[in-house]
Amino acid sequence: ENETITLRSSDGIEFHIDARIANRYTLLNNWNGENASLPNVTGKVLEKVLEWCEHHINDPPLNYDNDDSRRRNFEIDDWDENFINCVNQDMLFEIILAANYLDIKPLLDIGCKTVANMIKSKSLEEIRSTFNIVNDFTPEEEEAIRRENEWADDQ
Amino acid sequence: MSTDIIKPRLVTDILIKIFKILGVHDLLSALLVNREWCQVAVPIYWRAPFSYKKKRSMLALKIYRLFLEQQENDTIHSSQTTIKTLPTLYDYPFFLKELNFTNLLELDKDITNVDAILKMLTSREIRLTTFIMDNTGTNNDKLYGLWTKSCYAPIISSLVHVEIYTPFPKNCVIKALADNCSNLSHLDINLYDNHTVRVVELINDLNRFFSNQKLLLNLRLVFPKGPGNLLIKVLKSRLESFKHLELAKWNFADCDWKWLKKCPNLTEFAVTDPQTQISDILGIECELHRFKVSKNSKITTIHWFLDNKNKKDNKDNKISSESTFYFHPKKPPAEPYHDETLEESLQSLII
Repeated sequence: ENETITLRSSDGIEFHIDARIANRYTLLNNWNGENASLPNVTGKVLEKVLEWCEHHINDPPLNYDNDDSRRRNFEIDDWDENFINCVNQDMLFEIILAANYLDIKPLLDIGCKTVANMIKSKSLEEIRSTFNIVNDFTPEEEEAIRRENEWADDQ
Repeated sequence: MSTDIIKPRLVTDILIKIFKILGVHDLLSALLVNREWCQVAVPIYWRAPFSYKKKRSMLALKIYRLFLEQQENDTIHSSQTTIKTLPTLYDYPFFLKELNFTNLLELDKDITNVDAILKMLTSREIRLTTFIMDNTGTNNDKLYGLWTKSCYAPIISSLVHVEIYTPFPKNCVIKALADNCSNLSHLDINLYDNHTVRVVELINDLNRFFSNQKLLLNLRLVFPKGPGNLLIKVLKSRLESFKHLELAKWNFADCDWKWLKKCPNLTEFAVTDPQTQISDILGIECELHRFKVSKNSKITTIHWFLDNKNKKDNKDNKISSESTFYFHPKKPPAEPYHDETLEESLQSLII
């Protein structure tokens, strides 16, 4: 029952994981083996991603083709919230990129939802400073963008 | 110990995913952050500018007008070869995916303008995924153009989600949907009509419409005193097509419901004033839902939730106990009408 497969991060760290994880997220199977390694995911990030996968190993299978999924719950449960709040922003972005790359949709959803929550109800300047983004509009451009897109600027 | 010098950046695909979760007000903030975010946020921001409150729609329409004026100028100077320049930084009408037609008609009483807008959408090869007409609009007989003029057929050919509650004869709508659409999955429509010939036409086109759809259908058909026996004849010939089926206010006297047992994909069935034969077939376990149509009138539907063999892999039995009524979600979505999942499922079909 306890079959394991071996994954190796881009920086050569090996992880022995329950084969059931790789079966849930089929892309992981691609990197099973002694010599194969995930080209884009470092050991530090892979460790977090696998920690998440292990916790969710017994979740019911998700059916993403289901057209009822518009009522899909976008709430993040307590464990996931704690998991995602314990990482810094760089790691959060790394986890999102890895989940995207490895096609682990539920983790990608949680990551995106977390970033969306960081944007919600913030002022423009707060968003720029949260994400450390420099405003590269010219003053004319910014003025035009504001004017042309003002329609939701109420509340 | 190695340290990462390069900071991780969210790529465009991921920004799109994040921005799609945002409400339109937060999306506007994101859009003003910098050029990269602007480029990603603008198409999402402009996908349904007429699906919000009136004040917003009016301001959005002001921007659309700039494009209409340009279109007019272009036709005047058509002899000269002019390089088209946009009146704005982005081609905003190009991003329209969801049209609340009632809102647009209300805002723009001068119907020639609505026609000009439809022409503009046609010239941009817009393919709508969602179309809404709620019950707030006045009955305007000029609203048929969209359904009857063949030049507008491409605009509606990709529709996935349609809700029409405005009272007007729907035979032209169903005919246009049957002729042009094959990816519809959500149809919520009031079919009321007191003209017998048109109703027969309507039911025939409904049949044609069902047979042309590639996705499972979620169907809510309202028709006070409608000819239930004719409808059931059509439904019976498409047993495998339905997932959620709600039939409100039809006259189902003397109808036979045995066919309900044979719908392999049906997960929810709802009807007003069910006959006893239905509970004989679907069981006594059902739920009641009151749908408030207006201040004084309510429609009460009885809902059955079916465990289908096809859904065996779904071990989570909670689904039926926490039953949600497909056509009557408990919490109205924060952003009305947006339905990205359907859009995605459509995109995956196209790919």
